[in-house]
Amino acid sequence: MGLLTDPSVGHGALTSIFVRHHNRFCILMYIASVVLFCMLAHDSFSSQTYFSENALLPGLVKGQLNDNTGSSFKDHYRELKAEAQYFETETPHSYLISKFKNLRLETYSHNFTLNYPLKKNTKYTGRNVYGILRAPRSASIESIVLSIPYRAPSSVFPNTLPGLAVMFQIAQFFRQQMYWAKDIIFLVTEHEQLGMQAWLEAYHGTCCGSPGVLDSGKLSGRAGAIQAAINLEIHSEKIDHIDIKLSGLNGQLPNLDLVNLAHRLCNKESVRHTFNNVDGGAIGRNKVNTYYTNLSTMLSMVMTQATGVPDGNHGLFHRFGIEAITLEGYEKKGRGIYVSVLQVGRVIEGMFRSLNNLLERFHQSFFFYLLPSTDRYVSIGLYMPCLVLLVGALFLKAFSTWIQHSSEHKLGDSLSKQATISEHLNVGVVSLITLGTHVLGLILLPNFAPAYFTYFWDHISTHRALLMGYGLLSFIIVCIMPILMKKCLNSFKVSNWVLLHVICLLELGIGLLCVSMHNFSLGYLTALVYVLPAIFTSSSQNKIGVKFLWLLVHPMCSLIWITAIITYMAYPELQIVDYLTKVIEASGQWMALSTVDNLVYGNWAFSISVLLLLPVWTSFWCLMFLPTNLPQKYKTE
Amino acid sequence: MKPCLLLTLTCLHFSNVFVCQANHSNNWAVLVDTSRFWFNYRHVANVLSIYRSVKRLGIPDSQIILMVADDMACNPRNPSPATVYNNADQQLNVYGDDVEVDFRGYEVTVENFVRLLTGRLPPDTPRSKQLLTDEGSNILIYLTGHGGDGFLKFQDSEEVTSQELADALEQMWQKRRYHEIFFMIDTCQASSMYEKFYSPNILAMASSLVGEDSLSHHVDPAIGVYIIDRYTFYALKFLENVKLKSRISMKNFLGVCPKQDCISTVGVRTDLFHRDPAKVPITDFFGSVRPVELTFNFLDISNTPLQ
Repeated sequence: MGLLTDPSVGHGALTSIFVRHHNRFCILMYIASVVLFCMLAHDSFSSQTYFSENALLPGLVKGQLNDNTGSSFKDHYRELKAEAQYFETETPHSYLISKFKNLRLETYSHNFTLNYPLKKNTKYTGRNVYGILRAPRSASIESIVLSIPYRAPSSVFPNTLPGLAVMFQIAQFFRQQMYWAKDIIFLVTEHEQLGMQAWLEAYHGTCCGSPGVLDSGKLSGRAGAIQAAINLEIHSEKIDHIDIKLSGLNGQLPNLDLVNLAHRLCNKESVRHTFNNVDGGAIGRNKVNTYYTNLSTMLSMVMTQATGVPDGNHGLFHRFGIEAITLEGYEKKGRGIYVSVLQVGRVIEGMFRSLNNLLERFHQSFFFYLLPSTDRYVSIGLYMPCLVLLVGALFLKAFSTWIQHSSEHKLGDSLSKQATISEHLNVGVVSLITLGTHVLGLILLPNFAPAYFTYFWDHISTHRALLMGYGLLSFIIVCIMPILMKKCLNSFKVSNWVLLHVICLLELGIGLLCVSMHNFSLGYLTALVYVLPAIFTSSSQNKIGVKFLWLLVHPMCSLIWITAIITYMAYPELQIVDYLTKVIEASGQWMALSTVDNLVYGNWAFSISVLLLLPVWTSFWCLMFLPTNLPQKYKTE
Repeated sequence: MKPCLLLTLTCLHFSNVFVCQANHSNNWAVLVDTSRFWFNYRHVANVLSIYRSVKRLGIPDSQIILMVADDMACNPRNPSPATVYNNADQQLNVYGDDVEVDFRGYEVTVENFVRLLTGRLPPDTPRSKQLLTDEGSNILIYLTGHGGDGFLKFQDSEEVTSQELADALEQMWQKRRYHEIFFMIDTCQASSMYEKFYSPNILAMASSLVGEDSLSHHVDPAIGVYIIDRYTFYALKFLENVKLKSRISMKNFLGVCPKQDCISTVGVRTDLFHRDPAKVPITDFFGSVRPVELTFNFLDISNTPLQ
């Protein structure tokens, strides 16, 4: 505070220009940030990807996987399909175990239980199967994972059986090779991400979500520390392209070297490979088209990352310091050239041989990046300034507000010397508001409130109960705050509530910076929404338009807006009534999913919205309605 | 031949050892691979190939100090265990039966290397780990690994600087530990390593100039590594044609690996060397002086058992 309370501060020529025109500067910074962000996709801001890790030796070795020795892919696939059809909704565990044993792998199975957190006495159980191929000439201190989520024929997700058959084929081939320096774990998980999370927790002997929710059980067999993992989802025998997926839990990304490795090997084996289903390279596209393609690819990456939900099972590995990606093979529809599963098998073989060469964990290349294309990246040094500009606008606003206030205050001081700072700033009321809003946020954390909501509205489905609970609470706060402020705090009238205003701005700015250090996409998108109303707000006498703007960006409203846009994009043909019901339903499901994600996987998205956004929003909302004097007071005196 | 024979006879009175035409009395080789890790396979292949060549040309194992920083042959990633190849056609296993590695693995350190050169070793050091040279010794020093401007990295943890190396060689000169040295180095920015040399009778050659990388020659797709470096590859190709009695001079050898083959520029330093390289046979460094002992007594070889 020394700097801010120093009377000489704020009277330099430059400072006074900043202070006088701070709103213009803030808006300029906001625009600059958006422009810079859009520029990132341009080739002059992104650079060609490259390998930083020497040990990988990517693609030097010739792929040797073939169909000639042992059972062929077709044999494995036929057998597997027959077995899968026999179990409509379940995983054929005993078949998988005997298959792995036949492939001469050390085979184990792993049981886990989910105590569903939003309903009492609801349990789900599952079982993963995994086989370990021990490195023949090396100690079991390191390992690599090849995982596949098993999907029964009744699953809503596209099937992964061809991928599983490729895994058998690969396991059979790998078993015969003697050059493995790391153990290889072949893992078949159940219940999508849940099985994977349970297996990882059991492998590392830890619990990532709320205690008691996911009972991850125990593993009877273990290999060394996992260095890298590849998750495989191949939907068909005839593959159109392989899409490489990165986004992990809470927006964590795998090391760029692993991503490059996958692209390099696909290239080598002439497999069409994409990122966010967009091909890389600029062949056949003109400059403008390339730019738009890059921009849309980058934006879709930002959108995926911002949700904080992994887009494949790979995303759960990242928090354990394990680099992982998903290779998803889409079906080739119709006639024409297709990619065979054997080619994909060779890609995996090549990746595993490169990973086998690793001497240390991946650490050389980027962990923070945005990808506008398969072969270009934007480094953290270039995208961070976008966010810094937005947060900088908030800080500039806070600084100018404070300086303006202190200069006015001095003017008043000369007239009434007895006035102390606390009288002008109303420290008591401000701290009460700040504390109150944060306590409210704490109560609304997924660990507390949802259980009460579902208990209270026992007869309706969980997601509706959650939406009603949070919605009602938000509505009450929105309505009650203005009345409370106007009626009860009338005696605390001051010319403006500068302290509360500055605290709100600073908290929002610092909070956004912290969020974006972990998940840039989430931080940046949130900043885009919240910075604009924050810089239009003043310490007193806010216009009705600003109040309306704040109402629009209430976390609950934002959720509904976003869902509305997504729903409209997905189903543009819906009638208005159907559309609205769908939006409300989907918003509720979002909340329920987000709550469960928080409790099971430790996803932060929900916590951020109730611990940062909601308190800051509520404080700003209070600021709108706090009683003030007319500002002409000093002038008339 | 005549004067040579005469000289022989006169020499005999003083010692049984005889040197023909050469000014030195014995040959030594110090061959060092400084880098470890599987992806540096090529450096081990480099040094083992040179080892094989000098041994073929007659320097005995007792006079070769071989330092190899990592064991590629037994690396679990090696698809053909107990072998090291220097060519993708895999014709020649340079890690054959008769390879004597004197310093291996983590023994390959800057300290050990400098102590070896200067002879400042603990008294209990085995003979195989000593450079027992004298003022009549010609030494071939071959280094390979990862280097930069003015240093050569050892073991991924330390490095020897060009100044330290130059000082070590000066110590050797002052301690009369050599007659002539041929210094060969295959690293990135290799020529920076000989720039600081100031001791006499050193002929130096480097795979690349300052600011240049030394590149690998080709990949073995079966092993999955870069298998040999360009400079060493062409040097070996040259050495393969050298026989014990070849009259090839050092000048020919200094022209090995021109820029279109090496991509980097081979650097040569001759100002410290007092002879004309064109008149120095290559066997002065790569071959060995054969100590010949003449006897005037009859030896009965009829009873020698035939093998």
